[in-house]
Amino acid sequence: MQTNSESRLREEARKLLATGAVEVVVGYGRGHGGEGVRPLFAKSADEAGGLVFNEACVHNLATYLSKEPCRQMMLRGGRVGIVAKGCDARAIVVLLQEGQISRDGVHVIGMVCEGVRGAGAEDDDKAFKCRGCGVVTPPLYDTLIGDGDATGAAPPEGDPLEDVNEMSSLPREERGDFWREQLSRCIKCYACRQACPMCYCETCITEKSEPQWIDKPSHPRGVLAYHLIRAMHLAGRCVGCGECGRACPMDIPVDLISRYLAAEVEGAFDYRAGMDPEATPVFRTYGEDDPGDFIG
Amino acid sequence: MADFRPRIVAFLCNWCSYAGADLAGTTRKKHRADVRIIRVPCSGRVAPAMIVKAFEKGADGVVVGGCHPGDCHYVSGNYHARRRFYTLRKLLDFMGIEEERFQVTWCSAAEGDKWAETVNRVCDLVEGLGPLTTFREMGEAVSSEMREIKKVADE
Repeated sequence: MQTNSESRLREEARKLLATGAVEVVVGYGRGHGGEGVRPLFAKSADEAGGLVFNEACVHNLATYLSKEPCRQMMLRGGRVGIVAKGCDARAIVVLLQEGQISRDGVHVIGMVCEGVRGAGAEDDDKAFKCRGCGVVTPPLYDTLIGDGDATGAAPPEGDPLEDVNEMSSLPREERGDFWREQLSRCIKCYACRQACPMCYCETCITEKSEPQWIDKPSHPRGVLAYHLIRAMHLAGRCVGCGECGRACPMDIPVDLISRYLAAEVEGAFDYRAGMDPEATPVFRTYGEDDPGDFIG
Repeated sequence: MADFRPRIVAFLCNWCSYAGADLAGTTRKKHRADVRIIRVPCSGRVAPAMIVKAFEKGADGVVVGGCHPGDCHYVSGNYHARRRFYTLRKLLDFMGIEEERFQVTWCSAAEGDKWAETVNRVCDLVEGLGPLTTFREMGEAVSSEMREIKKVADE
């Protein structure tokens, strides 16, 4: 389905790089040994020929935008081209809202996407995050590859909150047991943080030692605190790209926590992260009629 | 659980609730002595991390006291806080921790009575829930695992 998109993507990237409109195009390239895909940083028109776009392109490349090399490039006045699916573009929108990148510093090559494959390479199922996806056409782009809604492109069917609702319907004790079991495996490698496009602090709270909010040793003491604080830091900002869960080497469903909070925030404050660069972030404002029944 | 006395940490806004708690003292209001008060400039200053840290370090319950809506010394600190606290309570519940352990109250400098009642109410409530063991158990789970590893290593 995407071979046409792929050639158009290469053509576009080649043009951008040849004219010097961007210094680099962050996209997907063929993976090691020809299997799957991996991030590709194309710096010349020639290298742009290596760009691919297919169902294996599950990664959210927006993570690279707030990292040092891209940041430096933008500070120098350079532009970064980035290949973005709908979910990735939502992450870019949040970065723009929060002033982490400037609109001039980034050229978004938006991809119309009908869903990508789940984490396992042999797994033919679409990724969980793609179910009922609301952003087949990215909410933000400079160039759009694919004809958008005109093609009748549709997301895979299914309820994106199925696992969240399943979890919420359990009695509280069972939920506690579940998380205790899951989190006891956490080795605090912070891969979930590294993979997250929204985690860009130069000094993360996990690295602060005065006061020390999160215990540093790799034993489960402090693990629950870490995951609670992490979830709160992402509340109202998480775009549900699921990269945290995919990055976890211990298979802890960390993305489940973030997606739950995103749904709660949307329900209570009618705010969905990453849809509109002009919107005020949900925790930077308030409503006089916000829910307050819990306050005595 | 007869000898269980809950440990409650209270974050009180300097302008309202802290003065309210002070008033409860000067007017000789009796309330339970299981609460430890930390003075903060505004309920909006209370980061979720502070509440989580209190729980982790052994608090069985946390109370945040702030000004009534519209009365914030900084105009909107309590409104901003309300959004965060709502979300934090939802999160605690999802992770299997009783959200009732985290209470918020709007309490003005004139409401010494209300503060005393709040302390009693929260203490009774948390006493009913029992000690918060989730954080402790996570730490202990590891200690037992480490003991196993050490045993194997010693052999």
